[in-house]
This record gives sequence, C-alpha cells and structure tokens, in this order.
Amino acid sequence: NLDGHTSLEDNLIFSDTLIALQLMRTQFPKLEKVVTQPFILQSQLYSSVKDRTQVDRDLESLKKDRVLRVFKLNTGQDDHAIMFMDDYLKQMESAVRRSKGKNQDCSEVFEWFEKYVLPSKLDVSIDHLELCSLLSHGGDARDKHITLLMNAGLLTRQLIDPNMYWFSIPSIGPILKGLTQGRKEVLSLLNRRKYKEMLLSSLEKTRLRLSPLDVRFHLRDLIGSGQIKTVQTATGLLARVSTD
Amino acid sequence: ARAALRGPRPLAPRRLARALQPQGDRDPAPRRRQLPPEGRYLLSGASDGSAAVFDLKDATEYEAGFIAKHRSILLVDRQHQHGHKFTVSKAIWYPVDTGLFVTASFDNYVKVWDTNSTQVVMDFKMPGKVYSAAMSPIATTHMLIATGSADVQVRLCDIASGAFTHTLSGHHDGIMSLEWSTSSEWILMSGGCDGAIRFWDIRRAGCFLILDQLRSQLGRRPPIIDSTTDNHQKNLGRSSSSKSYSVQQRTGNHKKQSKGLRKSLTMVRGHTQQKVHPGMSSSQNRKTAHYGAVTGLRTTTDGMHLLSSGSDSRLRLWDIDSGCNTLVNFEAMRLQTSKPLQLAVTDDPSLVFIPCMSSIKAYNTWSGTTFQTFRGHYDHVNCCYYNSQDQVSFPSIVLC
Repeated sequence: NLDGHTSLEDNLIFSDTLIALQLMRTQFPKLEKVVTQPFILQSQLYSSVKDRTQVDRDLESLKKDRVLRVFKLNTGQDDHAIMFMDDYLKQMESAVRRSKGKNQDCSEVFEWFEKYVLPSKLDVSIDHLELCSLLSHGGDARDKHITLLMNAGLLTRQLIDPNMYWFSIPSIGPILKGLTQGRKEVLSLLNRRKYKEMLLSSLEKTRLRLSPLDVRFHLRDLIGSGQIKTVQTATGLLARVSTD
Repeated sequence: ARAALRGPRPLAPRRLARALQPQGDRDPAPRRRQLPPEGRYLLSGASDGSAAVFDLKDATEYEAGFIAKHRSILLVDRQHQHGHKFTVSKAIWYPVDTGLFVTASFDNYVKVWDTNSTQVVMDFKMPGKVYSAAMSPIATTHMLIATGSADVQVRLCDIASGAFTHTLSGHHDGIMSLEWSTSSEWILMSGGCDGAIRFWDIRRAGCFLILDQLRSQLGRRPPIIDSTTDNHQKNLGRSSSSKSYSVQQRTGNHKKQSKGLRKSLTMVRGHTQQKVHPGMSSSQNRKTAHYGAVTGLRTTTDGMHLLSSGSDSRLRLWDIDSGCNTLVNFEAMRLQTSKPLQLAVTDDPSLVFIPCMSSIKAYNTWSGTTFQTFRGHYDHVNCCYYNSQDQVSFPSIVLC
C-alpha cells in the first residue's frame, strides 16, 4: 500500500526486515537544503519489526550479502544508520566528484577504496593496518590518501582510538545535527503536556522547527530506542514518554 | 550497596540500596515463603561504607501481616575500627563457608573479614577505587580474590598468603566487572571501562580471548549431535575479515579463516610491534564488546554463555566456546552507565534479570523479549540475585 501519504499508525509494524527497510526508504523525508540518498536508522527498524533479535540477525545476513551497509553514527552511543548499497555508492559518487573538483591529487584512492576496501570490510570500522593493506592492493597507499578519504567524508576517527577509522556517510553532517535537535524537540513537545502523551495522529501533523526531517522519521526513531512508548486506545495510538 | 546470599553453593554478591537497615521485602504475596536452611544469609555492602549480614529465614518483624522485615544480624560500618570509609562496591562470601567474607570499596581497599569475630583478617591496598571483587565458586586449589579497580590491571589477591600473586594486564582502562568461569577454576573474565571483555587463564600470561561485538553467530549453537547444521550457521555468521585468537576455537569443518588471522598473531607491520605467544591476544588489540564500559558480567551456570551489560545500554549474550555474539537483542532499556551492575540468570538459563533504573526487568534469554518488569523500588536498583533454592513456592528474587 504505497499511496502518497500513509499514516504512521497504519504503517508502524512490518513482518519482515527487508520489507520494512524498503518501505522506510521510500518514506525518507524530502530535504530542501541538502541532497542525500535515503538512510534508515537502526532504531527505526526496531520500532517497525516486532522481533528485535530477528532484525539483528537479518541485518547481519543482509550485510554479508552486501545488500546494505551499516554505519555507526556519532549522535549517541549506539546509533547506527543503514543504507542500501546502491544508495551509498551514489552518495559516495557525489562526494568523490566534489573532492575531485577541488583537488585532483591522489584521487585514485577513491577507486582503491571502492574496489578493495568496501567489498572485503563489511563492519562499521577498520583499523589503520588493515586499511593500509587493503588500499595497497591498488597502489602505493600513503597517509595523504587516507587524509583525502577523511576529507571527503568517507572515513572518520574518534578521539578515543586514533588507530581506528569508522566508515561514514559523506555529507551527512547537517542531517545528523537535525536528528539530535529534532529528537529533543519531539520529546519536549510531549514532556510539556500534562500527562506527557499525545495522539500519534496529531503528533504527525506537527511541523518541527529545528529539524529538516519530518516528525514521522523522529517518531520511529524514538519509539525504537525506547524513549517513547505507544499505547493503544479507543481513539487510536497514543505516544507517551517512557518512564523506565 | 552489594549483597551476597550464602548457601551450600557459592553465591554471588549483590548490592543493597543505601539504607542502613534495608527491608528484605519481597513482593507482598499472601503466602509466606520459606527459604531452605541453605541460601539463608544475605551479605550486602552499602554506599555509606557499611556491610551487613541478614538472615533471610527468620524475619525480625512483620508489617501488615505479610511484608517481612529483616534487621541485620551483623553490621560493620564506618564506626568500626577497620571499616571502609567510602562506598562498599562489592561484598562476597568466601565460596567455601560463611566464616569469611570479602568487601571491596571505593576507599581503595579490599578487606577480608572473619564473620564470627567481625574483625578484618587481612586487607589489600589497590591503586584506585575498587569496583569489583570475585572469587571462583569452584576453586579447590586456590583462594584468590580477583579485583578490578580504576587501574588497568586486574589483580589477584591470595587469602592464603596475604599477598598479591598476579596482575593481569591488557585492558586500556579501569575494570568494572569480573566473573569467574563456572567450568574451570582457572578462567577469569573481566569487563573493562574500555568496552572490552577479556578471558584470562591465570596459569598463563596474557589473555586468550577478547570478545568482539562484530563477530557474530546466528543464534545459539545446538548441542553437538546437530553439528552439521551448526557449522552451516557458523559459516554464515563468520565475517570475512574477522580475526580470531582463541585457542579454544573449533577447527575442522568450517571455512578457513581469512588471511587476516595469521597477521593478527604476529603484528610486524607498522611502527607498533609486539611479539605475542601463539594463542594469546596482545594488549594492542582493541576489539570491543560494547560501545562504552562493560558494567556487568554474568555467566550461565552451565558455563556456556555469558551475559554482559554495557554503558551503551545494550545487553549482549555471548557463546563462550566460540566467542561470538549471539545477536540476541534485549529490548530497549536505559541502564545506569557509571556504576557496576549485578545481573542474575536463572539456572536453566531461561530468564535473565537486569536492574534497569528503578525497576528490574526479566527477559527471555534466547529471544530477548521482555518477560516481566518488577517495579517497587523508589530509587535506582543496582543489583539483583536469583535464588533458585526455594522449593516451596516459586523461586524468589531478592531485590535491592
């Protein structure tokens, strides 16, 4: 049932992980300022499929079949984003084009990355030695090549461990900022109410000020991460801030 | 606070809420429950530096007819000449009998007490706040207390000699949780603030296994009879670039590991170089079990699985023999992030109990679905213990 606008309530639960992913991909909000390929947050997946263990296992097989990739985000301790492989490659292509537009030097590293690193490393992170050894299959890999990958937004590092690189979705920064702010906005909307709850149907009609992503995107994420609970009532599904 | 129940089998420590004389209140059921004579004494440590022992069998008074209140039969607090000055993070019984108990505290000391005389028999000074202490429940040849503190090394203290026997190095940050294996008296598991879970054989140097959350298998492995389907599943779960270190790894039917395996054993590439014994994991290894500190560890009684909780608010179930993450997803929860947690598992291990903010949640071990939530505490719950010895009515969980 893929008509123009479908309510969240009617489309909350799916039986199959892949179907849930594909449907949520089509429902990815249209962003005005940023052009990005659709991605799905892991927490959104948990809100849409009942059995979480099955979701994790299905994700694992889909990862190994190279249908999609999982990325660890820096917006929370366990936040992950899922992108279908084709979408990710498209996103990478635009990032590479931008990078080549600025500086043609060492840009062969992008081919090496796509050809040698992506197919063999399916995890969310890769350590320095392994990255160097995989890139070396294409040519003489140097630190400046890795720097170029990082500048293009394909790899990031975290302060805790300078030896470990994390795969990332290029140009996703401003959207992640919107994600954090949108989460806070939706939660504060609910917290301000007397009983900290609101009907899902009325919540969906709200427009958020601080996030380019729509309410439905944030709701799926917050329900999946356990911060909002849904309660069935006579007038429809109710969203309530979780207490424990 | 931390508390421990004493019975014929070694029992795990537990923590109590901050009150000096906590109520041993169970859920107010109309029937009175009797604990068998074993499994009778509860030891607890509190955040005010005191440790107390409670007799769970005989309540000192009853309130409203069915809520049992138990006053402590023994209490050592800051007033005691040798009492702890700060929070007692762990209190455990000596595994053999109730004659001794051990307390570990944020005042950097681990003290061994004689229960009858309520005196400190020996103490061990640690370089930092002590988060955890554990003794092997099945040890017959050693009397070692494994202690984890804010320092990166796990220290083993010997009650027999009063000295430190080993230090186990490898973690990159403090150690919040420790658990001895239930199948071997020589194997210890430690969970660090660096997010790693390391397995140590204390007879050898170095750790032999580091759990990696990215290395998974689909589901729990069936018993050996079904090994053909098991291997197929394991192949699916094996990531093409996984590095495995464990000597315990089953060789044989499954696919050869990628060439990354041999590289991990002797890391000669790069400017950092460290020779490792075959089968040992180096401290350079940064694989993590959690994205955050490992706050709690609990093994199942059959020694086949390990439950771990992390400050990333995830609970993971590991298959000890293969060292893989079984990917069981325990439904969303918010866990306390900065304190060690004490988890509990039923004996057949069908349920796991997790202290989750002010309630205790029980989950089905294999599917991760919520079984029940126990609400009743007014403040954060730190620990829980499952008492399986109650045969009269359903087993009780003593909450704190």
